[in-house]
This record gives sequence, C-alpha cells and structure tokens, in this order.
Amino acid sequence: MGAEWTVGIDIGGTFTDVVAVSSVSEEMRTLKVPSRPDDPAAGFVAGLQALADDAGVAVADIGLIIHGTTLATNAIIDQRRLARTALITTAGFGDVLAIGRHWRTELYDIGIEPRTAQVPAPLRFELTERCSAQGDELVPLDREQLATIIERLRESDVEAVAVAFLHSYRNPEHEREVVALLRDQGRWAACASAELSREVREYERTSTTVLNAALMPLIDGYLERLEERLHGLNEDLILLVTQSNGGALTPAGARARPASLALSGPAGGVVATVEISKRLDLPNVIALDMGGTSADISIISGHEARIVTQLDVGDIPVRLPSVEVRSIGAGGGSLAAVNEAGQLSVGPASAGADPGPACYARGGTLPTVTDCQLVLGRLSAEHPLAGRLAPDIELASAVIQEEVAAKLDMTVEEAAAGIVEVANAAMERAIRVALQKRGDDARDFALIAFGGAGPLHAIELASSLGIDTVVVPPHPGTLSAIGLLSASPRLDFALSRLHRADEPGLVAGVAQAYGELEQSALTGFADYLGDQSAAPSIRRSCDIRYAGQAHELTVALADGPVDEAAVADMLEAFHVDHERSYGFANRDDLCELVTFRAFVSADTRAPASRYQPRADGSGGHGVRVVHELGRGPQDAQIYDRADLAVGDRVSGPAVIHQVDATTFLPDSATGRLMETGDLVVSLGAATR
Amino acid sequence: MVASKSSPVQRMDPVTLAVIGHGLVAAAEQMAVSVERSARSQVVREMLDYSTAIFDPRGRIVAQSAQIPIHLNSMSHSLRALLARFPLEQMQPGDVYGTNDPYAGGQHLPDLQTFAPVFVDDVCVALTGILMHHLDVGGRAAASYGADVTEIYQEGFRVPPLRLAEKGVVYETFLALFGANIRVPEKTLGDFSSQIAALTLGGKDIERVAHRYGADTVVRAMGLIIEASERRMRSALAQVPEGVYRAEDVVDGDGIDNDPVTVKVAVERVGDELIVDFTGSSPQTRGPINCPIAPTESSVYFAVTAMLDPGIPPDEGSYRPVRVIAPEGTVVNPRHPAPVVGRNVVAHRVGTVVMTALGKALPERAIAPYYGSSNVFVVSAYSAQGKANVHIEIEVGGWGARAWSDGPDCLSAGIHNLANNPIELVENDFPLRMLRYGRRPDSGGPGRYRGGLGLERSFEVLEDCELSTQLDRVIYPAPGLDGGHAGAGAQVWVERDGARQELASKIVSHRLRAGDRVTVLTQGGGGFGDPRERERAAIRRDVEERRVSAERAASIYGLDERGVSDGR
Repeated sequence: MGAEWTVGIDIGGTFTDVVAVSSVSEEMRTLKVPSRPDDPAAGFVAGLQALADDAGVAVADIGLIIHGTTLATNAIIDQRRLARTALITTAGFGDVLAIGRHWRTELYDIGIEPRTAQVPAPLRFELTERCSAQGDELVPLDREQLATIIERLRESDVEAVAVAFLHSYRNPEHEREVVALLRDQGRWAACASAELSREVREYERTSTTVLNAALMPLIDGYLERLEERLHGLNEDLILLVTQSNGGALTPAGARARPASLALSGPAGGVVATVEISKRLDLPNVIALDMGGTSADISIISGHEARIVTQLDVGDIPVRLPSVEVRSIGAGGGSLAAVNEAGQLSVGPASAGADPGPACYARGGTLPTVTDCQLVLGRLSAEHPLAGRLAPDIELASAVIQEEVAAKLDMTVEEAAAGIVEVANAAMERAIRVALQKRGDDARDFALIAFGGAGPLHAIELASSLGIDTVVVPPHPGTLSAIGLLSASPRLDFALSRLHRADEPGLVAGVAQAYGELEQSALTGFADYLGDQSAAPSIRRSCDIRYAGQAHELTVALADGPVDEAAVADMLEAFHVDHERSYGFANRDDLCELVTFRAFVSADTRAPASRYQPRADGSGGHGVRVVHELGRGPQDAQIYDRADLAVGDRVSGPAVIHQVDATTFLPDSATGRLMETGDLVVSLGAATR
Repeated sequence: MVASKSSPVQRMDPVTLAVIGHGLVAAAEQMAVSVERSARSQVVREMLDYSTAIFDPRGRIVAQSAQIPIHLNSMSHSLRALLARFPLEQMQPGDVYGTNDPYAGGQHLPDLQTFAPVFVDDVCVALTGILMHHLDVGGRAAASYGADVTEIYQEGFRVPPLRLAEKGVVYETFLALFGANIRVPEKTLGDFSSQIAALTLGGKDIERVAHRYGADTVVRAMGLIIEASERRMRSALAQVPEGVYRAEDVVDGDGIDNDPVTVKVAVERVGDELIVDFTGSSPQTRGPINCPIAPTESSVYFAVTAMLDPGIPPDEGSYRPVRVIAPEGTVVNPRHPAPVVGRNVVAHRVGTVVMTALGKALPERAIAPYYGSSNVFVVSAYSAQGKANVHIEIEVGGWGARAWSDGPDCLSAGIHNLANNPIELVENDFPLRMLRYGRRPDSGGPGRYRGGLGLERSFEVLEDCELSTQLDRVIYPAPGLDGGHAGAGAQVWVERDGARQELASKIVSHRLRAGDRVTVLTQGGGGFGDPRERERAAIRRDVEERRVSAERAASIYGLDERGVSDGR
C-alpha cells in the first residue's frame, strides 16, 4: 500500500532528525543525518534517501510528511537572510517600528547597541489615511499618494512590502485595498497586518507584519522547491509544516504566514510531551529540553501546552500564538567560571559546538557542564553519544582543576558536582518563574526530560523542585521529530474589539465577533488546511482584563451558542483564573474583553506508534563509581537502555546509556520501563 | 519575634552560596512577574514603574528584580526608617509595613513602598519589599504632579512609616482613608492589592529556600553575597586613577522661580573608596524639583555601577565603598517640608554629572549626557459623573554619544527605564487622537560620535481637559563632550485656531479645549568629539536614515552636496 508510513522531519542547525511510523505494524524508525544549511531542501531529500537506504522506508510508501524547520527562526536571528522589505504605515507613524517600546533590557550597560529597525528609514513610507479606535474612517485613503509610493517602491528594488495601519484590527479596509494593489504589481511579496493578526497594539502588529513579509520570499522559495522535489518522488505525498502554535499547516498556508513558523522546530518537542502526558495520564508536566547551549522549558497543564499570544525572537516581537518556551543559557556546553570575589557561576556563556566541551579535544580550554558530568562518572568514554567522539576525562579534569577547583580550594570532583548543582539551580529558578506566571506549584507537576543532556540533570533537578515523577521518553534525542507526527492541522485567528462587560449590547457584540471569527476560520481551513475529509472543529477563547490592566488572561469560551450564560461563564472563568494566577480577583470590578480568538483544527492523521521492545531484560552491564550530588562517590549500576525490557525496574544509583542520551538515577530514585517505552522514575523511598 | 543572629563571618561553600543566590533572585523575579501582570494602572502596567527586592534581617538589600535603577537601594532607606519605628522583634508573620514619605527614606509620594517580614520557625530570615509608583495619590494636580507646589503638604496623601496590615489583612481604616484622598481609587487600590499579594508570594519562596538550607545558612549567605559584591566594587574602584574629578550641569528651573539650578559634583577616589561630594550645588528650591537623599544616592550608585562594571550585582555591598556627601538644604538633600514630586529632574542630573566626572577619570568609557528628564505628560478629563480619567505618558529622548559610538535614539536612559503606551490602546481609553509619533531629526548633538535623537509627538484632544507637564532641558540642553555639540532642547506648544502658544517646561492644570493640538519635541543626547572629524560614510548614512538633514550635514559636519568631504 502506498501510504503505509507517516514521517516527521525536523531540520535543525546541525542535524536533521527523521522519524517514521507505520500504520500497519505501528513500528517506529528513527535516524539522524547532517543538515544542509546551504540547501535545506536537499538536506530534506537526503533524509528521505537515508530513510529508504538505512531504515527500509521507501518514499513511495509514505503518505504524509510533517516537517519542522528552523529556517525561519535562523533567518530572524541572522537578519541577512531576510528579504529587502519596505513598510507602508499611516502618515505620521512611520517611525513606530524604529522606536519600539523604548525600554531597555540591560539597566547598567552604557555600551548597548540596540537593534536597528527591521526596515531602514528610506524604505518606510507614510500614507495619508486614518481610522479611529472605533473603526470609523477619519481620513480617506489618498490613492494618488499611494501611486507615488508604488512608483518609488519599484525604483527601490524591494522584494517584499508590509502594510500596517493604525486601528486596522478594527477596520482593515484601507489595508486590504493597498495590499491588493501591491499584489497586482506582481513584483514583490506583500502582506497586510490585519491578515496576520487583528490584534490591538501597533508596534507589535507592525513588527510581526514586517517580519512576515521579510520571510515570505525565503519560505516561499524553499517550500516551492521542496514540494516540487517531493512530487517528483511521489506525487500523492502530502506535506504539512509545523507552526509555533504546535499545529500543522499546508505549504500554501505556511507561504502566506511564514512568521508563524518562528518556533516550528521546538514546538515539535512540546507537542511530543503533550502526547506523553496523555499516554501516561500525567496532566501537569514540565518539559525540559536540555541540549548543548540552552535549556528550553515549557509548561503543560491539563494535558495542554500553554499557548502564549506573543513570541519574542531575540528582541523582535512576533504577535502570533505560540507554545510557551522559556529558554535559558544552561546546556551541556555552558561554561563555569569563578570571579575575583570567589563566586562560582555557570553560563550563560557557552562553548557551543565549536570548540565545545574540553573533553572533546577540539580546543576547548574552559570547563563546561558536560566536562563535569564526565568527571562525575555519569558520562563515560565507553558510551559516546551517536555522532560524537569518545570524551577524554583527563582533559576535562585538567580544566576543572585549573579554572575552578584550584581557585576555590576544592577537589576536582567537588568542583564538578558544584558546577552541576549551580546549573541545576539556574534551571530551577527559570522553572519557578515560568510556573509563577500562572500561579502554579512545582509539586503538582511531573518532569519530562529530553534533549541530549536533559535526562542527566532531570532527576536531581526534580528533587530540588519537590517533583516526584520524572519521565525519560524512549528517544530523548529525537523527541522533537517524534512530536511532529502528533501535530494536528491548526490555524489561529484573533480579533481585537474592546467591549466592556457592563455595556448593554455585550452579548450581541461578542456573538458577532465570534461569528466573524468562525467565518474566517472555516475559510482558512478550506484554503490552508485543505483536507476536507477530516471535519474541522473550532475552539474559542477571549483575552480579558480588568479595566485598566495592560495584560489580558486568555480564557476559554464553551462550545455552543454565544448567549448570556456563556458570556457570564467566560467572565467567571476569568475571575477564577486571575485569582489562581495572581492571588486576587475583584469580582465587583469592570472587565474588558479585548481580543476574541478562535482556532480551527482537525484530527491528526498520523498513526499511533507502539513501543516494540527489542530486549527481554538482561540486567546491568557492571558497576561504575559515580558521584551523586550531596552524597559523593557511589557504586552505580550501568545499563544499556536497549537491553531493558518492559516492566524492568532500575534502582539508583544507576546510569542508563542509549545512543541519543544518558540518564542518571541518584540513590533514592527508581525507574520502571513502561509499555509505552517511557522510563518513569519515581523519587523518594516510595515507588508508585 | 526575634531576628536570626547572623554568626560571625564564616566560610560557606561557594556552591551553596551560588544556589541560595539563585533562590533569592528567583523570589524577587517571581514577585515582579506577579506585579507586572496583575497591576491595574497604566503607570505600572505599561511603564514598568515598580521594583521588587529581598532584604536581609538587618534591612540590607540583597537581591532585586529592578525595572528602574532609581528605585534601587533607596528601598533600604525606607526600610531602615520603618525598622527604627517597628523593631524586628515586634514584627509578626502576616504584617505589612509601608511608607511613601520622602522624609523617611522615600522617593516622592506616588512611590509607595511596602515590606513584609518572612519568618521561619519564629525567626525573621528576610524581608520582601516592593516599590510601586501609583497613578495618583491626591494633592494639587492629577497624577500628583503639581509643578507649582511649594510644600509637601500640597503633593498628596503622605503615609509615614506605618504598619498597614496584620495577619495578612490590610487595615480597613487605611484603605478608606487612602481611597478618599486619591483621584482614581479603583485603579490605585487595585494596584495596591497586587502589591500586597506579591509581597506574600515572595515571602513563601524565601521560606522554601530557608527550609531547604536552614534559616541560619540563608541569613549567612545573604551576608556573604553582600560582602562579595563589596569586594568586587572595591576592586573595580581601583581602575579609577587617584584624583578629584569635577563636573556640573544645570536644571532649567523649579517651575516657579525659573532660575537655573546647579548640580555640582567632585568625585574623588581615596584608597578603595569613592567619595562623591555635591557641596556647591544650589540650595533647595521653592518648586518641587528637590531630590531627597534616597534618590540622590540611588542615582550615584547607578552612575558608578554603569561606569565601572555593570556586572556587579546591585546589592548593599556594591554601594558600601561609595560615600555620598550631600549637604542638607540643597537640591540634592532638601529639608522638610520642601516639595519633591519632580525630584527626577535633579536626580537625572545627579546621575549624569557623576558619569561625566568619572568619564574624565576613565576617558575610554566616557559618555555624554542624555536627554536627562522624565518628560512627564498628564492629561486629565472629568466625566459628567465627575469621575477622573487620567492619562500619563513619560517621554524619553536620545542617549549621549559614547567615546566609541553614537548614542541610541529614543531609548530609556540613565536612572529610569520605561515603556511607552501603545497608541491604539490610548485612543481606545482616552478622548485624544495621536497625529504624529516619530524620531526628531537633527536633535542628536553633533560630534565625531553623534548623540541619539529625541522624539516628536503631536496629539489632538477631543474633549476639554487639563494638561500638566514636568520637563527639563528646554533652556539648557544635554551638553556635548570633548568638542561634541549639545543635543537639541525640549519644546512643547499648543495650537488653537491656528495660533501657536509655547509652553514652559513645567506647567500645571493648563486648560485645553476640544480641538487643541499639543506637540512635544524631546531632547537629543550630547555629541562626542568634533563633528568635522565624523566619518563621512556615517554622515551620509545619517542623511539617508533621516537622522540628520542635508542642510545640517553640510553646515555642521561639512559634508558637501556631492557627498565629498571638505573636512578631513
């Protein structure tokens, strides 16, 4: 049969992860190939080739590919790959983009060089037009002036044009007319702010629109080439791309809204942890993805990933829904240092991929967290990770001795343990602050650890947070790609329209807003999610605040008709959520409904995979001395994950090696391999 | 209740110390997250005018999540005034203490500071503190910015050091009294309740750290963190060549007498200490620009940290080697009952003169003065029901040029840090219409390195209302350094029926009629070095980017119209 396999392809900066699941055998196959940053489409096809050659999955047998890419993310960070973009704004407001919100992130640094505006002044054009906050036209569009601007755009050799007018979230007519005219020219990509985000706040909306326009030529070209090549290989193959919101989108949709791909890669990891939270029935989960340079933290509550309404890439706001990911500079490559006052710190500076940790003998001369894990015996020269050299413990010890142990009058092992503990403290702090955003308590959560370094740190970190369950999935190093398989087609829509909860026509106003949103959602579904076979479902929510607040909380609106009771329930949900998040609610105070939201989605078509153990349980691979935080050297059992059978129990201290990660279990922890293939670790004496 | 005795200095292993340090900062950060997202008024919610901090049982600041430098450390002044009145031994769990009194360690009346002790096993291990700028605390004018007041009694509701809550419940009497004396009680009391909730939350976090490591260890770690910062500051001070470095700058006037007001400093490095002496500064003024001692010291600490080593954690230890001499009765240390609401005018100047003086000691780090004023605009209207609707905006301007690069444009600088209000939200909330918001060309002080640009905003009021402002550097712009020119000064005017009326820098309750148009131009930063030595390519880029007009490029920088230099 032609569509047996569903494939996830996650293209990162260095490696491309490929995962395939069969709808017949429910078997999963994974592999890794080097990325091709010069020609990502070629890298993609090379991944498919490897899948055929090494894993026996022919392209002809693939029905669906879901793709995660860092192409947009990297282009935003490295601005040179963005298109030469012009901006047309309401007259008088061409500099809104340049001024931004005018606060600084570094209080004391007198040397800061703020990012320059994404569009230089000569390409920012002002057009006479104006609408009021209520959406009334105050000044008609000056069409003669527009003709002049288009003339100048032709001369300026631009590749993309963004249009962002004041209050277009309320009345998008002027933007529509201008962008239609721009598209008629056929010379450049064009995009209007209200097409992307009908949300109030001009700077954030303008910035999002400019970024979207600037990404259009790049993403358009990439997906066009990719689809062409894929259809050459198998013309029935369906391609979907994941967005920052964790949902999937057709290439046509991604080409119109490339800014929604800003978090395409990491979103896969979050989607995967949601799946794990469901299959293990752990509703509240902290996802910890720790790699070489950073640790990414996301919170999942009630089996749902937290979606934020704005993502900041560097200091560029992208006002589109995104899974919430908090990134801190604590990874395997993070550097340890001692300052002149004798204080120990770890990160955010990192040895990165080059030179990398000292133990890899590529010229690193400063101690990293990975060097410490090696010295502590949790990593081992005999079990290098896939694609890596065997680490050299002598090199690691020498730099720890010189840079930390000698300065603090400690042994190398004490210093190494200290560095790991401080790295954990930085992660603990970030997790606590992330939880505080919603008034959550760490003790109500389980921790899912992935990325190459996550399972090394997770159990000791969980212990500091008071968490009693840690999950290490079967393939911690390729979890983001696995998550792609679970990404459901999804499109988000928003509409800012300020309503006060006490106004007479409230229910009618709310009903009208949702009516418009649902119309957009269904049209969007038909246009961009394509597949008419799966029935679209729509979920609605609203951003609400107390009158006077700047930030809103997003609360759900129940399915069904928008009537007085539904609106009242939604307002009550806001008070409850506010109390939960901030410790107080003022039920007598006036609420404002600011932005109405709806997303349309359909069920994923990817088959579920079933864990297929290869082993019948063969116990440990001997004993090694491993240093445990707070307890010093211990005899630890050494395991190979591939040799563990379902139901096997592993008691700490223990180290479990596998090709893409290493798990360390301290003394009090007990791990059990579940039928799902997940290793579930219980902390403390009692095992569940 | 008793305070934990901190044992004599003992070594603690650096790992525990670092981990507790992360825990304390995490507590301050979680308090900040809680305040930011739940605050009601625009001042807090969009302008970030609040700070959160953790103090040791001796009242020394040890960790903070500061949004605004001028709040730093000044909180210790108020906390000490509170501790003098309510000794730690008498404090109980659930107590909250507070004050906004500038003559008891405070800033100005809108900045209400609150503190709560944190107990573990009946021992006080720390205090949590939050300073929040409240939208209005009553007094002569909306937002409590009365530019023409002459006594603190006219400035609003004054809260001396008081206990405000017991067992976690705020006194009804206080809330009723406070609410009756302020213009927008629902917003302000809403902010106040978010302030109290966040204090408690920070306390719980400290308790957790203390349970894990032991109350004694936490208290001892606080002392060691402070000592380490002190050692770092002392070693940073060693970079400053021994000697006396002087600088002075002028404030336009106090809004009443409008005579120039001088802030004068002599900075001297003696051993591993820095003496910052303001002797010779102008006597305190009748109008409300006087800067109480707490903000004066904060501005000095900000300037010293920024100039020497921005990486030193801003805690009590980093401030200890810096000694501030501010003679009583001057604008940098006024006597009661001098008015102080506009203290930022002088506080900004305190920061820049110290930076200018230190730039003479460390020429490679020199930075020219910035826009130098919290350009406060308050528009207030009363509804038919007599309810006040107050819109407040604080405009920024250009940074001074650095000895190595141009100053950034339109960016918060120096002792304050804040965000603007989204125009679309303002127009939704308030009867005014923005006409223009953009960078102000030609406002950056010319130099080899150019000062940053100020900004330009025009708006039309749609209903009758009142305007109050608190600006500076209208008459005396931000000076240049080392041959660089001054930036452009600020300007404000109102247009009515085609006629234009220039306004003074500090006005109060100026009546506006529907249809009036207000324009403000903010200050550019000072330039650094001779403009004729500026790289030609940089000047051309300035013209292209509309930062400098072609005329000025020719007349000041000597760029001729073919783009060929007639200078060097």
